[in-house]
Parts: sequence; structure tokens; C-alpha cells
Amino acid sequence: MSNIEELESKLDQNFVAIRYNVEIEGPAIRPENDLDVRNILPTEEPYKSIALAVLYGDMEASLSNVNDGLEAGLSPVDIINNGLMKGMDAVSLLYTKGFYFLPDLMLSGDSMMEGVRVCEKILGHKSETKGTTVSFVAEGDPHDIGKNLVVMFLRANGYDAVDLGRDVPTTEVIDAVEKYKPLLLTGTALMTTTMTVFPKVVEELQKKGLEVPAFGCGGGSVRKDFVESFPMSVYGVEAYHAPKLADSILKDKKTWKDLRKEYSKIVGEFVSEYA
Amino acid sequence: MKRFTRMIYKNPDELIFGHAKFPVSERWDIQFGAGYVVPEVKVAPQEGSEVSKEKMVAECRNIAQSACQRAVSIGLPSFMLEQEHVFQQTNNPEWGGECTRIQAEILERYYDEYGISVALRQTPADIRVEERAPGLRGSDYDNKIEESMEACAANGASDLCIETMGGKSASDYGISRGDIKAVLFGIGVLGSIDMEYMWKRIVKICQKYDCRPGGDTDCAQANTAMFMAGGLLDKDIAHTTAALARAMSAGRSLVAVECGAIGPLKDCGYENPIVKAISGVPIATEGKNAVCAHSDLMGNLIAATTDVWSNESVYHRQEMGGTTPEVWLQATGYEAALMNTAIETGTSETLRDIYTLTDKYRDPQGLILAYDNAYRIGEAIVNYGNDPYLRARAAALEAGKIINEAVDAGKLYLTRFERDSLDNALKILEELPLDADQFTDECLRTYTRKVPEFDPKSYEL
Amino acid sequence: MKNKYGIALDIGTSGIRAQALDLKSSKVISTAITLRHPLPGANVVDHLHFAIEVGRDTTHKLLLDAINKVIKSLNIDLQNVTRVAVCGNSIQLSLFHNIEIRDLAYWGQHALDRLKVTPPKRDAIIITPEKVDLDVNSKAEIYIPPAIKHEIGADALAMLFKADILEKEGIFLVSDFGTNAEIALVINGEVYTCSAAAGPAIEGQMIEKGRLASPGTICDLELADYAWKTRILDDNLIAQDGDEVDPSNGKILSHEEDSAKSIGITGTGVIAAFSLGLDNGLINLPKIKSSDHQIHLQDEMYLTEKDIVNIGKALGAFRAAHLTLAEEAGVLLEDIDATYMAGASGFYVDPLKSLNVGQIPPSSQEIYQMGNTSLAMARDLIIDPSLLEKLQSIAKGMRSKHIMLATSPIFEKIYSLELALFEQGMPFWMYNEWLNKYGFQKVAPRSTNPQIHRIFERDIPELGKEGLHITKVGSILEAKFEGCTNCMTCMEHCPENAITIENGRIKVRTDLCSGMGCLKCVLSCPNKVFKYGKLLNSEEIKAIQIETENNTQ
Ligand code: B12
Ligand code: SF4
Ligand code: SF4
Repeated sequence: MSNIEELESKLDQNFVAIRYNVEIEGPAIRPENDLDVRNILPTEEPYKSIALAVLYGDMEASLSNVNDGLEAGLSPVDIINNGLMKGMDAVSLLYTKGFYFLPDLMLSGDSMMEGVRVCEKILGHKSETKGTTVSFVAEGDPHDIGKNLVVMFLRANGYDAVDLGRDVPTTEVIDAVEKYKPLLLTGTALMTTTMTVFPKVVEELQKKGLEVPAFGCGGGSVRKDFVESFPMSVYGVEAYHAPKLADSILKDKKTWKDLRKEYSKIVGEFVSEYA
Repeated sequence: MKRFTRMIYKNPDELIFGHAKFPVSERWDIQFGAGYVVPEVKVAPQEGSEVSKEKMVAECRNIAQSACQRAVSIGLPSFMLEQEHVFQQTNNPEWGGECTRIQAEILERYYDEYGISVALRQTPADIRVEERAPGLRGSDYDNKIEESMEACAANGASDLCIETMGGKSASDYGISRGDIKAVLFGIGVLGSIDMEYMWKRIVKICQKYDCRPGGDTDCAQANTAMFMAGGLLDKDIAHTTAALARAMSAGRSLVAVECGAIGPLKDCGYENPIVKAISGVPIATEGKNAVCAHSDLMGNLIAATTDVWSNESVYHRQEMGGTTPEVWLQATGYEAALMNTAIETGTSETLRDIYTLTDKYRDPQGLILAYDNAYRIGEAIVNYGNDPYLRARAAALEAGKIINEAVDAGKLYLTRFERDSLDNALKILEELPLDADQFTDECLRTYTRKVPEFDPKSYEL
Repeated sequence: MKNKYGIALDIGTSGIRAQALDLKSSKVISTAITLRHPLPGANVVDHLHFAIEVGRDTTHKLLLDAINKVIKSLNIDLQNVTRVAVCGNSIQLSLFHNIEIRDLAYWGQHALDRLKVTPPKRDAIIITPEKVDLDVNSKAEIYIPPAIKHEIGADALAMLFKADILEKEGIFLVSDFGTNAEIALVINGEVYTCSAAAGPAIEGQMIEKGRLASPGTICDLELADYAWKTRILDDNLIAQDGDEVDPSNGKILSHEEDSAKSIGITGTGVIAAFSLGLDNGLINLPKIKSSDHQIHLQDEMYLTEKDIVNIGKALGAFRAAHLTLAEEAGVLLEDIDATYMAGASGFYVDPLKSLNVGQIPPSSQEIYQMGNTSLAMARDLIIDPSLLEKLQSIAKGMRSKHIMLATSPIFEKIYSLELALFEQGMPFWMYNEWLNKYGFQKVAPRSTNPQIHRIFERDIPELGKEGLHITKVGSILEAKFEGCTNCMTCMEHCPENAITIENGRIKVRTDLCSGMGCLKCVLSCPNKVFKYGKLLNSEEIKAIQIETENNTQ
């Protein structure tokens, strides 16, 4: 051992210099090395690489890993459940931890969906999901960023989220409800001129004798008192609440009335609008 | 011109303060790198003194006088006085000449009277303006620098230095945007080209007089990166990016030595330990006793390999303990005394290692300049010694490697900003072409458009 | 011979401005403005929605009543007015002209198909006062300038025209900062436009203590050591010094005796707080680092973390729009030769703060504050009516390069980054890295020495020898709802105290009501009988009553 190495071994670094930037922010670690992420990620190949490609939002790697797995004879269902979805679970976790941000989520979501699509092609049908949801942006409204988030969170959490797009005529919404019998219908509107379609949707559903367990309505201009002025609906605050609402409908058979009453509890956080 | 393709030092452990492979002696019985460390003091003329030659000369005389007086009052065996020119001193070569003459006179008087070893370094300012035609070469300003150099050499300077600005337009652009390619182009390519242009002329002037060609620092570029990177909590540019810029600058500052500069290299070149490891010339450095001028994150570490210990710069004014030349010479003088005591008592290696360890893991910028790591970067440079572009690139890649190793060993932790910036930069550097002409062509295309101040003619490109 | 007059009119979302001009001397005689729009609501969609609910004719009438009131206070003989020029955005001009508006109220094809709406042309046109019930000489000509395209209205044309860059070499960025920002990037005469719906926070709305610029509002803040010095608008809308306050706790560090009491914060005031807060670390997005998570200003005014996020989302829309335009046009924002800020908020905001918070590109070097260009262009039209034709041809020439942000994937990507920045606190370096990852340009660092050119002292440079007159506007809407039990719940729930109930008739003051974004009256009515759309202008009610009386006779 050279002189300096020996001296170094005696020295507690923090005794002479503290990297406060690292103290405050925490040291940079590769996302895959986060302890909680490690618990989620599969250890076996090729699931591990598939999950990692999703974790890093690498669309190309995701596709080629999935294709390799399929060629090697793995079942598409296993690839989805043990690879792609695990990667997305890790992404959601890092997002809630504040390590990942919106764009990470979007990129990873796309990588996952591409992989799922390939698997479903082989499978010949839609893969098994927790259930179906339908999302739309009100007729006459172009603001679809919030709706896209809702759809992404639902998909990331294992729902088959049907995305009707924006500027969706009410009749199309009704048709979709009839066709998919969704567990949750979500509507988004950001203009006061367009949020008025929500009660109309409910009216039309009722006319046709249709019902959904809950119709989540959200978006910039929408307010809780407005949403609660007509039945079947619940005011949605944050896009990531959507899967939690769906879960409670699925598991605890909650209805829109329950959701209105227990919103904060169901989404597991304080929501000032519901205080 | 001969490029360095082999290390002069054969072992990093030989790198130590007060010792250089090729010591330098100057006129008033002073040696650099010859077994002892020389303290340096540098004081900038007060604002207002630039209005007339008389005022400026008086100012310089007072600075020299104060420094000499304090040196003998506290018993310094040797010291170096450096005068860094303000614009007027260089733009009016006779001012610079006169200031030098008066300072040389004072130093000589003290040398005669007390036998104190002294040196007088004159550093004309690089007053060229790239964006003003005809650019860096052949302008009036350019000629004035040359005349000023000559005036200083003729009037008693014992060595000459400069901080050239070549490449700054491109590197400034790159540093402020985290565009590592522009940084490499500015420092590695343009900086090296301009150094050659400048230093061939300076060496020629020195040869005519009893005056040594000292060296050049990449203050304009690598220090800009360091200052913008700021303290630990600042986030304008990542400290890892600044560390890469520093590594590149060693390849660029080496050019002065290749043109004939013999040291001691100029104080604010934090890249000097690397250049010393490659070329064996003595160096001046600055750190904790330069806090009057700026803040760095390696105030002790940078002393580990020094031969001349400087205060960088301070305005000429009164402090409670005396005038600034007195106060700051005393600060550097005592630090040099500590190092010299260690040398004489055979404990210099321990002191060197202690200096190093206080800052080695404080920040990635210090880490890569620790003498063992500086040596490694030196090796990367001489591996591509004949190609200024490739050697600057190799230096940066090696610096990245050094940082990553320390991270992997759990000795240094990075923030996410530092981590991501480093990863991105290394990825870009790795993918760059291995042919200098191709790289230069690419950069010319991109940066002549993006950087309005950049003028390829200034580099004969 | 009597003097002939012209009237220049600007109908803005936040108010009406009118000026009388002497046609012979081309001099301004007098100026009249309102401090709010006569229709309920704070943004164009509120106005549109109101028009759709209560009917276009009623809306047109409310607007023209207000305009007639405004021009009356210009103090000239309106019978001698021979020219009137009107400028404003597409929505306001359509309401003025009483033409189709629904194409502006809905996006996409579906709603318009269902409602069988054919979007009108909105070309330059000359109409008669009778057509719109404007109280001036019936022979007068009314000039309405063309829209550039659809919602990119004549107001956008005005700012481009007045910046005088359409024929210049170079790259110029021109923006009118309002709730709806009109933005144009002009590259050697080629124009790229877009409209970014930044949101009402920019005008101080949707901010808890926010207010439109009016006397007593905090419009700017300056650093005074570690305190912030308040700047408050006085009764003449000129900014005056207020108290110096420690923003982290509201402690007054230096009291200004003459300061007006502050009653709210304008959009520019919020931007100032945002900029200073970011600089001194009081704001660490999305958090405010004071013990109660608020920024405190004079007279117990404050900003919450929600306010900060709201202003951030609005500022983000500007930056995302600027970047989208630059990417679409293939230029770098840092290569812009000059940045022009139009409109009142573009005039009163401190450009250095705009630069700091990203409202204009931080690399902007030459910044021009132009003031109210709509009114200026209306004045030009009065002086030279042949300009109308020229404007039409400019507008025609520009039509092809409009960038629809709604369908731009670039905008959506960048706006998501803005949301991450302001809502989630993503660090800015990461924002830049993402831009890089997407293959877009990075945001260049701040210009070190930006030059600010403020041509006039006020957003309206010359008020005329008769000076400024502030006209109060507002009408009363009235209805009797079938099934109303007079329970007063609606009145109690109205946050603006806009409702009174007399003899079973509900009366709503339009100048107080915040309109379609509120509707607490409708929502709170226990009998579900409050129908906002049934409310009628009380004048009209009188007229109907008279008519029915006549009929019975
Ligand atoms: C971005 C933006 C745009 C973009 C939209 C891009 C896109 N692809 O979506 C563009 C520039 C295209 C645009 C256009 C217009 N816009 Co715009 N726009 C905005 C802006 C700045 C942000 C909106 C946004 O994306 N927010 C972020 C998303 C994530 O929020 P969100 O959708 O509300 O979703 C959140 C929650 O609500 C929730 N959520 C949503 N749905 C659901 C459902 C469920 C079940 C749950 C649980 C949760 C949930 O999840 C999200 C949070 O996690 C706002 C102003 C502002 N500062 O808010 C104006 C705004 C919405 N726009 C407005 C207007 C008026 C327009 C235009 C009509 C302007 C015009 N005259 O041209 C045009 C559209 C029509 C046309 N003619 O083209 C107005 C609406 C005013 C009103 N009172 O109605 C606003 C408020 C601005 C203003 N001027 O006042 N706009
Ligand atoms: S509650 Fe009051 S402010 Fe709100 S819409 Fe009704 S009348 Fe207007
Ligand atoms: S709340 Fe309804 S019932 Fe009661 S006074 Fe108002 S309109 Fe009439």
C-alpha cells in the first residue's frame, strides 16, 4: 500500500468535506438500483431485459427484447405480465417517489404499449386485463393532455383503457359504453363551453337504460359542485387517481355514490377538493 | 515543433511540490522546482490608476515596494512578484515597459541589499477581440501584445506569461449550454491552434533577453467552466462537465511548453499538475490563498504538486493587516514555508498526501487533479500526443473514467445532475470521429452558424 | 364647416378602449376606457359561452350598449363622426359585428357539424352604424380589419403591423401576452403564428388574491435588500411605491405613508413574485419555502403554492409555444434579433422578470415593449382608410403558416415538460435534457445584457387634450323563473354579490358576475329552476313589456 492509500484508509471523508448537494438530493443511482425497484423487477432473463427496456423508456430495445422472447417460445401472456408490466410497475413507483417525471412516464408507457401490441398480435386477442375502461375528451374540446394521462395511468395499472380521443360526439360515447360495458367511464373537459356535455352524456345513458358504475369527470374548468349536480358522476382530481377509482369499483364493488363520499380514502391521500 | 508522446515523469509518486524534472533559474538567484517552493504575490492596480501612465507606474512601484518590504520583514528567503497587465498597460507598450522597469529596480535593490531571491513575472493581457476584424491574428491589439511582451522583457522582467483566449467563443457557447462538443472544439482544437500562434512569438522574444518564457493558462475556458459550475449547490453547469473541460485544457496548455515555454507555468492553470506530469516543467498554482480572487473546491489539493504558490489576484488597497501586497504575500509565504519545512524534514510526501486527501473527494474537479489521477490523464494525453484534438478528447474520457471509478468504489457520490451530465457528455465524446479534420469540419459547420463571435480566420481554418 | 371626427376602438377581453380623433389634424382629442368587459366572465370562452347561453343578440346588445356609453364619454359630437375603426380578437369583433361565433367556441369538427355551423370569413369589411346599432352619424363608415386566420384575429395582425417587421431581414418574435397569447415568429418576412391559451393566471385571475389591473392592485415588486418593495397602481393606473415587506412572513420593514391599500395582485405582480421568489430560493417548485407555504405581500395579500403552479402553467404555455414555433420554423430562439411584447400586460410587466421566468426567451437581447397595438392600428385606419385593403392582403399572404398547437405533437411534448417542471418540480436541467432527447433545441442561457426599448410611457401613448375618461359599464339581467320559491339560496351562494331578488324577480349585475366559469347560482338552486340562459337584458325586458302592453291595448 502506498503512503496515500494508507492515509486514505484512515480518513473518514465526511470529517473533512461534506458533499451537501449529495446529502440533500441523495446520490444518483441508476433507476434499476433503487431498492424498491429491485424488489419489483424480475431477476430472470429475458423478463429482466424486457422490464429494463420499459424502465428506461427504450422503445427499440423493448420491441426487440419482446420479439426475442417470443421467438424463444415464451408465452405472450408471460411476457406481458412478468416483463412489460413489471417494468411499468417500477416506473409508476419511481414516479410516485418523485424520481421520475411526466415525460419518463409517457416514454415508458409507450414502450410498454408497443410490447403489449406485439404480444397481442401473437395471442390473436386482447390480453387478460383487470377490466375495461373508456375515456374521452368532450365534444368541441382539443385539450387532451389530461385525458392522455388518465389513459396511461389506467393502462400502466393493468386496465384495458379504450381511448376515444378528443372532440368526441356524445353518441360515440354512448355507443362505446354499450359496446365495452366499462367499469369506469372518464370524461375530460377544459373549456366551460364543453363541460356541459357531461350531464348530457348521463341523460343519454339513462334514456337508453345504460349505466356505468361511475363516470369520472375531470379537467381544468370542471368543478366538483358542477359534476355533482347530475347523477352517475364523480369529480376526478388527479389523473393517477383514475386507476385507484377503478380498483375500488373492481375489488370493493364501490358505486359512484361511494366514490363521492370516500374519494380521499380510496385514492389514499388528502384531496383538498374533497375535504 | 515536437509534441509530447511520452511522459517525462515515470511515476506519479515523484510528483511533488518544490521539485520539477527541469528546474528553471532566473536572474536574481532564484530557482523554481529545484527543491523548494517559492511564494508568489500578485496585486492588480487600483481602479482609477489606468487614467495615466504616471499613475499606473506609481501604482506598480508601490505594489513592488510593499511586497519587498513585507518579504524581508517576515523573513522570506524568496518570492515572486507578478504583474498582470490591465488593458492600458498592454495597449500602451511603453506603460508596461516603464512599470516593469520600476518594479525590476525595486526588486533588484532588495536583492542587492538583503540577498533575498526574487523574480519578476510580467503577464501582458490578451486584449485581442475575435469578433472584430481582422480577428485574433494581425490586429492592432495583437501587435500591441507582442510589443508589450518585448517591452517587458527588455525592461527587466525575469519571465513572461499570458492567458490567451483562443477558442473562448466556442467554449463559452458550449459551457453555458452543456454542449461538450463545442467545449472540446474550443479548448482542444481552437485553443491549441491559437496557443501555437502566440507562443512561438513569445519564445522568440524571450530568447533575445535574459527572460524566461513561463507559460499559459486556460483561464479563459476551463476556469470559466469552473466558476460557472460554482459551489456544491449551484446548478448552472455540472461539476462533472467542468472536470472534463479541465482535463481537456491540459492538452491545450501543454502547447506552450511544446513551443518552448519552460515554466514556471502560470498560477491559475488548475490543469498544471497534468502538464507538469507530462513535461517535467515547474508550475505555479493557487488555491486556498487565492480566496481573495475566487472560490474553488481544491484549495489544498492543488498545492500538492506546486512549485510557486500564488494568491491569484487582489486589488491594491489597505487591509487591517497592511496593504494587500503585504497581506497576501505573507499568506502565500507562510504556506510555502510549511511546504519547505516538510521538504527539509523529509516529510514532504506526507504533507503532499494530506493536501491531496483534504480535497480529493470534495468534488469531481479536484478528484481528477489529485496527482495520481493527473498522471493518468497525462498518460492519456501523450498516447495521442501528436494530435491536439484527440489528446484533449482522450483526457476528457480518462477524467470521466476516473470519476466513474471513484463512484463505483463508493468514494465519491454524484448528484443526478452531475451523473446525467457526465453520462451524456461521455456518450457524445465516445461517438466523436477519430479524425481531427473531420471533427473540425463538422464543428466549423455547426459553430460558425451558432456562435456569431467565432471567426475561423482567426485560426487559419 | 364643422370638425369631422373618427373613433378608434379596441375591444379587448379585459375592457374597451376608445379614442376620438380630429380627422383634419389627425390628433387624438380624448380617450375613454373601461376597467372590465361588459360581459360576465374573465376570458373569451366565458364570453362565448355566455353568448351561446343567453343568445347572440342579447350579447351583442350588451356589448354595444357599453360601447355606446364609452364613446359618449369621449366628449365629441357623435353626429360628426364619419369614421370608426374597430380592432380586437376574432371573438370580440364577431360579437361586435354580430356574426357567427360558435366556430370559435368549439374545437374540431364534431360540435360544429352537429350544430351546422359554417365558420364565417372574417375578412376586412366596411359596415354601417345601423348594422350594429352604433350611436354615431348614420352615414359613418365602420372599418373592421381582417383576422389572419380563424382565432388568430385582427389583434395579432395589429401587433405584427405595428412592430413593422414584415419587410425586415432577420428573426423577430412578437407576442401579445394575455389570457390568450397571440404569438408570431417572423423570419425574413415569413410569418409563423400560433395562439397559446396561457390561461387567466396571466391576468391575475385563478389566483386566490389575484385581480385584473385596477387601482389598488400590486403590479410589480422590486428587490430591496432581502425585502420586496411593493408597487401599487394608483387611481390613474400609474405604479407607485408601496411598503417593503419580508415575503416569507409579511412583516413590514418599511412603510410607505402615501401608499394606497392593496386589494389584490395583478398578473404582472404574480410574475414579479414568481421571478423574485425563484431568484432568492423562496420558491422551490412546486413549493414555497416559508413556514406557512405562502408568499406574503403588503396588506395581507399573499400567494399560495397553488397560485404558483397556476402561473407556472400559464408561463409554460408561452415557452412551449415559442419553442414549438421555432422548431416548426427551423430556427433557434437564441438567433432571434428582437423580441416584441404587445398588449397592456406586455407593456407593464418588467421584461427582465419575463426573461427570468421564461415568458420570453431568456436569450432575448433586444426587447421592445409596444403597448396597445390594436388601438394604434385602429387609429391608423381612421387616418388612412385605404390601409384596410392593405391589411387584407397582408392577412391573406400570411394564412398558410399558422401552426395549430392543438394538433402539434411538438407542443404536446414540450407542454408536458412544463407540467413536470411546475407541478412536479422537475429540475430545469432535466427539462433541457429532455428537449435534447426529443431532438429539440435547448433553452439557451440568459442574455447577459438585454436592451429594453420602451417607446412610450403608457400603453396608450397619447390620451388627447381632453384626457382620459374611465367609463363604468355593466347592465342588469333579469328574469322570473317558474317554480322559484324566493328562497334566496342563489343569492347567498353568489361569490360576487351579483344577485338581488326583487318581487320574485332575479336580477344579476353583469359587471359583477363572473359568468359561465362560476354558475354557483344555477348549481345551488334547490329547486333547479335557476336557468342562466333565461336571463334577459332588463332594457329588453322593458321593451318587451312595452310591446306586450301595446299589444293588449
Ligand atoms: C395546453 C393548453 C392548450 C393547448 C392544448 C394542447 C393539447 N393537446 O391538449 C392548446 C394550445 C392547443 C390550447 C388551445 C385552446 N385553448 Co387551451 N389551454 C391550455 C392550458 C395552458 C393548459 C391545459 C392543460 O393541458 N393542463 C394540464 C392537464 C394535465 O390538465 P387537465 O387536462 O385538466 O388534467 C388534469 C386533471 O384535471 C385530471 N383529470 C382530467 N380528466 C380527468 C378524469 C378523471 C377520471 C380523473 C380522475 C382526473 C382527470 O388529470 C390531470 C392532472 O393529473 C390551459 C390553461 C391553464 N393554465 O390551465 C388553457 C385553457 C384550458 N385553454 C383555453 C382556451 C380558451 C383554448 C382555446 C379555445 C383558445 C382559443 N381561443 O384559441 C383553444 C382551443 C380551441 C381552438 N379554437 O383551437 C382556456 C379555457 C377557458 C374556459 N373558461 O373554458 C384555458 C383555461 C386558458 C384560458 N384562455 O383561459 N390550449
Ligand atoms: S353565482 Fe353569481 S357570479 Fe356566479 S354565475 Fe351566478 S350570478 Fe354570476
Ligand atoms: S335558489 Fe332557486 S328557488 Fe331559490 S331564489 Fe334562487 S332561483 Fe329561486
